[in-house]
Amino acid sequence: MNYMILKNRTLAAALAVFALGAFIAGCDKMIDTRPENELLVEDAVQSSADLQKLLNGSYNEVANTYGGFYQVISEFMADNLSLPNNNDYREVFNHNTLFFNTTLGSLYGNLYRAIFRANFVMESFPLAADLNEADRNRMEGEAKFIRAMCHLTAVRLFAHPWGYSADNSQPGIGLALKADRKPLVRSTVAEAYTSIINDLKDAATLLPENNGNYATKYAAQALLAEVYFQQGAYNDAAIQASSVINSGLFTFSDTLNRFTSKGATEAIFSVVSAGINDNRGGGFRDNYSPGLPLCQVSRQFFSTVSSDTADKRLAYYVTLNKGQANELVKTNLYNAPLFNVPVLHLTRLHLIRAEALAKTATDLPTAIADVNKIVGRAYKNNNRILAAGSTATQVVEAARYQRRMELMFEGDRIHDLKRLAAVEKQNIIVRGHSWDCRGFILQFPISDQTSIFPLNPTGGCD
Amino acid sequence: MLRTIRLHQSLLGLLLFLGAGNLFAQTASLAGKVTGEKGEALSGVTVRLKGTNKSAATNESGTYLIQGIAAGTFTVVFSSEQMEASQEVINLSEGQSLVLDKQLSAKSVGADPVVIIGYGRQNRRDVTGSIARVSGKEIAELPTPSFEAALQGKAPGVQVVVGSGMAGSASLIRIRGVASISAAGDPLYVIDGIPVSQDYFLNRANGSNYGSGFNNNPLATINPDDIESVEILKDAAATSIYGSRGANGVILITTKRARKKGLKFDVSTRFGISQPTRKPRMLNGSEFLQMYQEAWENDGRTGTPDLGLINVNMTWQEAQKYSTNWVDDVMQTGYKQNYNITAGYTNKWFGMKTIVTYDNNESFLAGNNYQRLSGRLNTDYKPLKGLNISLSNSLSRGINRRVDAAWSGGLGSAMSTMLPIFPKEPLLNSNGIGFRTPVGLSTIRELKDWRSIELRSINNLNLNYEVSDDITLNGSASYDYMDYGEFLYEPQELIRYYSPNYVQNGVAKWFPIWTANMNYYLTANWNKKITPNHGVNVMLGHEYQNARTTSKSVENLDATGPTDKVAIPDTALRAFGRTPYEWAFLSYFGRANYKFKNKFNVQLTGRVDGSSRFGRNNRYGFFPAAAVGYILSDEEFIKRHDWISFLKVKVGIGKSGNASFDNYARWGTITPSGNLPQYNGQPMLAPARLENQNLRWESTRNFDATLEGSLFKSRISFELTYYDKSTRDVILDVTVPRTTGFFSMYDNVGGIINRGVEFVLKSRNIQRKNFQWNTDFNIARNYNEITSIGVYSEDAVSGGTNDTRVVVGYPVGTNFLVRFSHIDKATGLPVYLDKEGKETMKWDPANRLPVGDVLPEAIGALNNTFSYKNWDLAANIYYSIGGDIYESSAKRQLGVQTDWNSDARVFDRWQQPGDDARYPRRTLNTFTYGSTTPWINTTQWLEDGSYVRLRSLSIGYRLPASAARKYNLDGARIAFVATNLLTWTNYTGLDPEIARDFESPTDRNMSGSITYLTAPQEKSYSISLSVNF
Repeated sequence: MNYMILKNRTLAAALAVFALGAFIAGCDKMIDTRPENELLVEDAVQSSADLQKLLNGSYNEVANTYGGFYQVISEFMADNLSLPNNNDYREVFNHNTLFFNTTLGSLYGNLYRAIFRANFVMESFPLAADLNEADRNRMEGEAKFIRAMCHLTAVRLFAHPWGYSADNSQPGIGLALKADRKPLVRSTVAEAYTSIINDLKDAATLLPENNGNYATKYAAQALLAEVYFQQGAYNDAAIQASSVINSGLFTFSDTLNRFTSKGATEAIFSVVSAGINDNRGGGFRDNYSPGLPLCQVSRQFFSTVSSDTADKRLAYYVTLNKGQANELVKTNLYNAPLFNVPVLHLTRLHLIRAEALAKTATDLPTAIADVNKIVGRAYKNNNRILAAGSTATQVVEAARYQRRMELMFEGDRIHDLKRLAAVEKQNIIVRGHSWDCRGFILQFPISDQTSIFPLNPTGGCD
Repeated sequence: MLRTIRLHQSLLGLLLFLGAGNLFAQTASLAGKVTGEKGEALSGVTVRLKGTNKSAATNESGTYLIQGIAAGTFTVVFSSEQMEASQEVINLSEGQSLVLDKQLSAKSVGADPVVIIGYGRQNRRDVTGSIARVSGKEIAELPTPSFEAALQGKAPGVQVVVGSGMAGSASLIRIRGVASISAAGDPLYVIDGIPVSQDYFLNRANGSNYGSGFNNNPLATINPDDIESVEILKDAAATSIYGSRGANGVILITTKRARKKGLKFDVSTRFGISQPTRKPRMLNGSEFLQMYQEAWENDGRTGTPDLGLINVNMTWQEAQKYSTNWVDDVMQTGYKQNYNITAGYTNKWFGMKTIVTYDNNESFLAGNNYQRLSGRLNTDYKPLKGLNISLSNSLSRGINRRVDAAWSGGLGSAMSTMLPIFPKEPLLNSNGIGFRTPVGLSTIRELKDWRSIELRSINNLNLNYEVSDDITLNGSASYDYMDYGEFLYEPQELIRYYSPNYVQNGVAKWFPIWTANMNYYLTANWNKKITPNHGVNVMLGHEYQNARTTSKSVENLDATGPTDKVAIPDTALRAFGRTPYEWAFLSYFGRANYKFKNKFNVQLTGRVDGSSRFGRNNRYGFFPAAAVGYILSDEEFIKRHDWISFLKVKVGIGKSGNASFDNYARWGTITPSGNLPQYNGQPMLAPARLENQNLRWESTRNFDATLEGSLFKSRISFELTYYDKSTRDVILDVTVPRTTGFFSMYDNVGGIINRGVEFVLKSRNIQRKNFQWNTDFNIARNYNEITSIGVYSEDAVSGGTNDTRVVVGYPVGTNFLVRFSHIDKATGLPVYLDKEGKETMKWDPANRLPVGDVLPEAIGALNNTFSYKNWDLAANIYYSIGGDIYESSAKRQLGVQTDWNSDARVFDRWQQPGDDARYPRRTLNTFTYGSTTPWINTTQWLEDGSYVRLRSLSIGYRLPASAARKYNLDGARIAFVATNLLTWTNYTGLDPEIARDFESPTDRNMSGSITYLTAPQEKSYSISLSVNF
């Protein structure tokens, strides 16, 4: 009998220990291990200052893209440069990019990382208790500006241009309007432009006139002018350009070189190099200035440039190994160790407005003045100064010539050619490839192929 | 089973005498001799009269005697651990002395009486799941780079691809196919109750020039001599007790414990040599120049070829002077040695086993070896009745002297960038400029000190208390500690080859990692025979496991020796902390068995797992399973057939999971400003990862049906299994569209099915007294198919280097390639096929299609063992049929002439119009083969990789018992073992058995059939000697 009691007690005790063990273990905390070198979102984002840092992270990607990377790729699609000695860029030059092209994948990734971070800032507003309305508006404006700028670059490079079809229903890009993980459908080009314009209009309303090195109301308007210009909406383009030019905040300078360490006075929005260890113009410097640079000026373009010896900008060109088989022309414009990259500036706006006003024939005197501002700065003589009574056609022609001479490596040439073809219905052929052929747009990285996002057709322009 | 009862003449006198001794008691007695199938005496067999307390055990000569039996009818039961139980009904009259001899047959082959299952053990007869058992002896006897390689061919459906011949290399083990893509597809390894640290990607090879590949094998420190048995759990009925971690199978390793009474010693040693199964045959100097010149001329060039096109600073005349065989420069004959001392002691209340082993395994790569010194102490105490305390402790130190291979150098360089036109030393031209590579392979090897040192200790304390006859409580606590460090030292002399003006001393690096892994579990077990016909067994348990890994990296840029030998002055030290990580599992589980008449078993299991890796919305997963086992041979309608000795059918269905993926993928995180650059002079923050609180385990539904049996007095036994595994919520480390702002993220999106058949046949062909011949054959076929990858494309998940993909409707890791058609006879150029099958001269990746057979159609083994008197011979053949190999490096060895050497296959290239060649015309021009990039993946490099391999051949001799006794020994054996002696294959590359050095778990699951300068397997010969006393 005693034995039985003892046994039952032992049993009860043992079961109690077992149950206790199970109970203690029933604590969720025991399986709640957290990452130790990264911050949880709720810990990292608590104040307005934190949001500002997140936004700066988005600008960082903007800088990585527009510090020369985007411009170099754009130029290789057009006719200002010659065949590069690099496989990825060669594909771009030959208008036959493969979806394994890591350089393009990286550009495309930068664009959308900037957009993601901009969206993330906007979605994180509720996390910052101390966020005031002014900061909130400003940050939303900056985020939308960044989003629009990156979407615009993507749609310009990876889709056929505005005007390619009557209703612009050609496949566009993914419009990333939320910071989530969902794969995007491929929008049409029309939808992309609508979204970009809406973002820029919002940004122009939300942003202040002054905002340090970051986006302002005028940056948004300047970009909007570019968008309208690309669409051939010249009236709207001229209105936006005028608003920025007339603000008086930016000074047209006599200095031809806008790529300076202090930042050009005419710059409206720039990629900023904060110090010698933080040079953000490497995309220009490293690709144009080495002894044997990746980016060499094409013979055809250089013969155009050098045809007018009064052009002061000729000083930016250097011919090496003259007369030999390995003769090459490069630019010394980006030889400085450190400079800001002006992405939006008055020169562009004057050229946009000149061409836009001439095309709409609304205000020719302003258009002529705009062209003469550029010409007056660029030439040793007055041969190219437009007379007061110049015709619209003469203005357009002069503006287009100066666009090419002035913005020669800033990535605009390909978009201008496409505008002339798709909007102005000119017959544009580059290196034997018609502007509307398959390979005239870049291929998306293979990572972006999903059942709802078809890539561009392969096979180049042959 | 009816047996004759006969009087044994030779014992008669003895029995009469014994009977006489019992003259006054008018009781009966029973005596006899119990023998095995070969007539050998069996000792220790229990002979029991059912329903009485009368029993006896047979002595060494196999005889037994039971006296003082009251007259009556009795059932005599003969039983022992190794033999099938048998019974006889006898009639004893008063005073009778009956002689009853018995011949017992061994339990069916491989069917040991007790098998280890999750959190317990079970009689083989009662097992309802699919469990294969491999004895420790089979593992220890085979010299392998690491113990798990010895499982090859031992169990059907368990694919073991031995890593390579490199010392300590990890094997790739797949149980019933791959059911994972980005989560680790390896089985769960449980050693004495603890799921051990088994991360293959814990530390990348920091010492290799390219910082990846050649990872540490976390199992290499495990001493094969410690292993008593390995149980491989294959289906859900067996694995669902391991819940969210059982889906890819579970490998239970049980270490040896003392069994024999008294003090016993086993001493063994082994010596061997290592050679490659095949040496690469690269071009020699003049052959290389001939090919180069041909390419030069094919491209329309004339005159003396310029080697500058392949970045060689060497004149043609200079190049003609040399012909270095770099393969010979990196290879050696490796020597292997192994010493093992095991001591065991048991008495009534105490038992201990201690095992000390030293193993030095040199591979055929010069400078490469793995040394392991390991000690184990396993003790058992029985301080009180019903209480059993077991301690298992092991401490093992492994030192791997490492060498570069594959893409990092060494043999890989010998097969690629080290051209035969480079002299051994110095590699400088008359102007002091390096020809291209400034230093030879053996020089690098001799100067570079690269080792990884691992200290591993796996410890377990187990308390087992039988509270009552029915109830047992078990508590187990384990601690698995790993201290792993990689040491690299490059002296100034080596660095100066690359940077001639380098002034500091050498560079020493140390990459330590510490993993502390602990678990405990408690189980309560209730085992009750309710009526003679109905028995139940219910087990409930709870487990917690937590593992934490910390690491850092230390650099001394002005070192005179490696950091473990020369202290680092603070001024030279650079230490980088690395992110520690931790994971945990919290689990509840239960198992209920119901047994009817010892022939019908029903088992229900269930486990609830919570893990730190699962998102907030999926904290706990439930993994149930149900299975039945029915022993048909106990039914009259089968019993009628004498030729059927045993027949059992098992059917099980259940769910298990896989949870081995990134520890923190569920959290949304931000990279802090301190770890990021600034922009505009201002700090920034950046999202590192998006939150996914839905992240959870992969879930595999598993159906298994097995018929097992033995025929003709157990001469033939077989097992036939069909299984069907369907996995959903497959974790993909999916390369997401860049529009998400990220490159990749973890998501539960995929579906995979694995279906297959396994068949085992074991036959005792000849069973004579002096000669036995047994044949074991197994074959398995697995069908694998991806059923879904969500919205993502084939390219969303890729193996390391663009070769393998996930394609719906095809197996995991299918090659996704542009199809190569033939070499155009007129031009010598490769002709490709577009998607529609039209011939094209242009290579366009948009024409890629899923091609080839990434998985073999059948794998298996054929093992024959012969024994004649004291001699034995075993030949194990392993085969893998119908799988293709993608030889990724061949595109550079046999394609466009670049800075690589070619192998001798290149002689079959196109030379002139009309040639029907296997390889295209030689060219130095990237664009000749119709592509914009020089090295393109096409089906030209995809080949049938079927092979049949004589995995091992062993011949042994056991000292006869009489001779052993003379020297006071219990036994002694000498054996000769050869591994990978012969291989039959049509594969033109080096070795068809490939598991290359993987870059990530995804790569490990997807790129099993890819080779890239992978070292061949090892061919070894060894002699071993063991003595027991």
